[in-house]
Amino acid sequence: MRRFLDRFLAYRAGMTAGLYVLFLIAVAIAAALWPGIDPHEISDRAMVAPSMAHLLGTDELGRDVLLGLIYGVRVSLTVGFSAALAATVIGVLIGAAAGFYGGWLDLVVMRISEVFQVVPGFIMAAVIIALSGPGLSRVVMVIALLAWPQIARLMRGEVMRVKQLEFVDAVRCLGVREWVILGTEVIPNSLAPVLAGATLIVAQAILLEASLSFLGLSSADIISWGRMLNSGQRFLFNAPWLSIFPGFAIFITVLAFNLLGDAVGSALNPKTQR
Amino acid sequence: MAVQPGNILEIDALSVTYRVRGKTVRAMNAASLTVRDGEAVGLVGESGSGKSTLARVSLGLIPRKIARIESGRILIAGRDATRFSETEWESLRGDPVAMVFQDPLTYLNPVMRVGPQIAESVRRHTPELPLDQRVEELLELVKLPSVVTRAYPHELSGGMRQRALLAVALGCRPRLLIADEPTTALDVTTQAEILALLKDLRRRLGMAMLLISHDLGIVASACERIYVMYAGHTIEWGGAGAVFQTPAHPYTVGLLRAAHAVRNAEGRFATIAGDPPNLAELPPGCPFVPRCSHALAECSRDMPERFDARSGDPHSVRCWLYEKPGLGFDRAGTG
Amino acid sequence: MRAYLLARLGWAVPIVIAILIINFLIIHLVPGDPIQALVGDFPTPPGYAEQIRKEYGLDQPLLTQLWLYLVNLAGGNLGFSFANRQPVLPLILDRARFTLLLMLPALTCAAVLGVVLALAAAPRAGSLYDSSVTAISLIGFSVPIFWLGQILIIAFAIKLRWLPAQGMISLRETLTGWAAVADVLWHLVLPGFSVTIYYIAVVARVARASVLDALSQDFVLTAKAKGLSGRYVLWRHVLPNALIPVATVIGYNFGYSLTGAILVETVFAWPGIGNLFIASIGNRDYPVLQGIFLLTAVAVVLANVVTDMLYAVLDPRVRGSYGKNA
Repeated sequence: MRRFLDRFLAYRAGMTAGLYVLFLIAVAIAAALWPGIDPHEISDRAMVAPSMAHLLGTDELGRDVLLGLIYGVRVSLTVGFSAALAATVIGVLIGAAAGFYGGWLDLVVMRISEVFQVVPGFIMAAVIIALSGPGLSRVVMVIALLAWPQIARLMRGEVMRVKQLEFVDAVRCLGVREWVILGTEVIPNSLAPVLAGATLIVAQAILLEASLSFLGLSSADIISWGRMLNSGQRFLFNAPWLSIFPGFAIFITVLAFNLLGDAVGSALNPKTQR
Repeated sequence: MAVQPGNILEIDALSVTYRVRGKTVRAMNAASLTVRDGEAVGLVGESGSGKSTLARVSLGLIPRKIARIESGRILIAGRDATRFSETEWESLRGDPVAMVFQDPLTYLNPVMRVGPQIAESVRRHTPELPLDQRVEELLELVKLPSVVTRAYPHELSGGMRQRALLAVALGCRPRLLIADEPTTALDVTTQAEILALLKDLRRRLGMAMLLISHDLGIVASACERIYVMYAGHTIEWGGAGAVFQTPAHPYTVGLLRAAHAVRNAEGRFATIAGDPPNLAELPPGCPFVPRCSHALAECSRDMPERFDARSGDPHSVRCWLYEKPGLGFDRAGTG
Repeated sequence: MRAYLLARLGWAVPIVIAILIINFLIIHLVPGDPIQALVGDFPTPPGYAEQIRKEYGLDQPLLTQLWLYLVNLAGGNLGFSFANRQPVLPLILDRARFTLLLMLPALTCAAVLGVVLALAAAPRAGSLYDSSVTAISLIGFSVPIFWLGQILIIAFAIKLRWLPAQGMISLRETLTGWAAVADVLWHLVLPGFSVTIYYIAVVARVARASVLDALSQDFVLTAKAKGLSGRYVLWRHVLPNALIPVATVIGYNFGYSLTGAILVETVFAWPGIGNLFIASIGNRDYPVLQGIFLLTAVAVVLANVVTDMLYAVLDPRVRGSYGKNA
């Protein structure tokens, strides 16, 4: 009974997180398509506390906080998904090659991924962005650069397991070339744990982008949750809502992707106990 | 220390089940076993026969979350411990009943030196004795040099570890020592040494011993009486000579024959035909029926309570073949 | 033991070299002239830029540049900060003291609390209490640490007025002796707590798993079979075994807590590396930014090596596997 309840709760947490992510995607699309609303619009009602007119209040330039949050979804999701996608593609290819061919290639890849595991990623990202200038595509590239070793390690382990399975030997006996086997048999059968890892990278990427923006390492004309927190820092005393709501949005979104990653992981692996 | 002769351990028709992944596994089925003070008793069976469960249940060490005592009783030195709480069990562990386990590496704490692990037994059970001196004495008893106190378990050989584990148990001054497969993880020479040590210690310390093994030969050489377990049932018991020389139950006969076969044809494992029973789906009647070439109609119905030998050493068996002596199966066990 | 230590140091050397190379490559990320990265975007004395250009061989091939860069580093020369009118190395080391003052108490608290939570939770696996520890660690992983700091300021400094919100010392009065120490500790509470939360999450998660694992080990049965009490077995046998992975994870996560401390410092105006970092971003003081990356990265490698040594101290089997210890 206890086990059933636990499983049900875990399932429900994952489901709720999934629904929330779908909701965020819908919000981002709606914000992009909705005509005639400008979140940058400045009004004379600056620093108004949350009320019926402005549900979450306004900032120092009279911009609506709720509207800002809605437009900020796009930045978070874009960065999160594209960084995770880039990291996954790089990680899958490199990890698969390392695991499949082994030898010196494996050695080199593992040593490089070790470097990225040890280096404090956020500081490196911040220094790179500070020196090369802000920009969403740069942020995505830096995060992908930092995150691919996680996927590569997962992929490597899985490929090393799958390549020993009988059906791969069977295909090999048919005379199929090694790299074709890797592409058509081994990689597709090794992707399950990678999917969970990629979901967790979305969470890390959103958190990292928010941290960079919070330090002011994003362009001022793009609305993002981290940027809102950055300006909120100056008004903690007079307008705490400028910090409370954007930060909460980051927190819930990162939590959702973490829960989703855990749920995906255990759903794909029926043997997981817990 | 003078002790009144009596039963130090009495297991009376005990049934234990484990709940594993929604299934109920019957580890012990109305098994009975008695060890008298000062006596050496052997318990033989394959893995999964319930012998390890029997050892652990005698110390209250079965995992409470998944294990349940369904029926029967455990009496330790005359006290009914069947429904004991964890705290009540603590008062029985070590003294009067101590235990040595199978794999001496995993059963010693890897990050603690051997000396302190022995000292814990001494402090718990004989705090009045000088600690260091007593530890030395225990090491001497198991024939280990005193430098071992400063060593970590992984620095010792398998045989030395088993001796250390024995010192831990003896430090409790038990009236009964349960040894669960104490020689299985060791090479043959070391096995013989440990076995000789166990026999010697038992005699010198006057304690009772329950020696558990899958090897009927080992048990017969060290014990006065023997029990044979199969699928959670005690199916045959009696004097060591009687059971070893004239096994009665077809399973015991097969077990003995398999052991001889291993000794004769080197390298080839001879086993009893058929698979060990699935403890989650035991049929009614005798669990050995699917592998038994002498099975009768009533064997699939139920198991007999017991049939005793009419003369000679005490010897009992739970097998319908012995209801009417002479029926298709020779009492001498050569059939 | 010595062989083990040499092996771990041998591991660290190539990693440090890789970090140096990464740092060198970052210089070339600056759009336009890499001299910017070495000098910063601050008014410099005339001729300084040319002197640096020559010193680092910026008009020469990349490999020569790398060599000259490493030669400069070997001499402890991380450049000069014109914003702070000070060489970079002593500047960062000076600020690092305050960052450590923030981190080390927070780390200690987190380690103790995380282990205690796990010890209490693990034997009751599956219970409500156990589930809530799991939930807390999940929240700790997801909460943006700088936002947590802001919330703490709003709650405890602005609304409740219990604790100071900014800085490391009270500016209004000059304190000495124990009063000054108490004052610093008073300022430490909120930022320290912010850093601690993430760490508690890390420690509790690992500690829970390792306590569960240690509880299921065979030697626990031996200890119980001696008649020792459950509590004694938990503290004397289970805990020392469970602490090994916990100590490892604490050491290996040093980098994350450093990052956390840097973000928290910017929220609380704590005068450590984080504050220097954000000021240097504002000043485009690139040599300082690079210096911070280099020194923190090397610090993390060192923390890893120290962790490995600690591991050998805690687990006699590690020492044994590299030859018998004396």
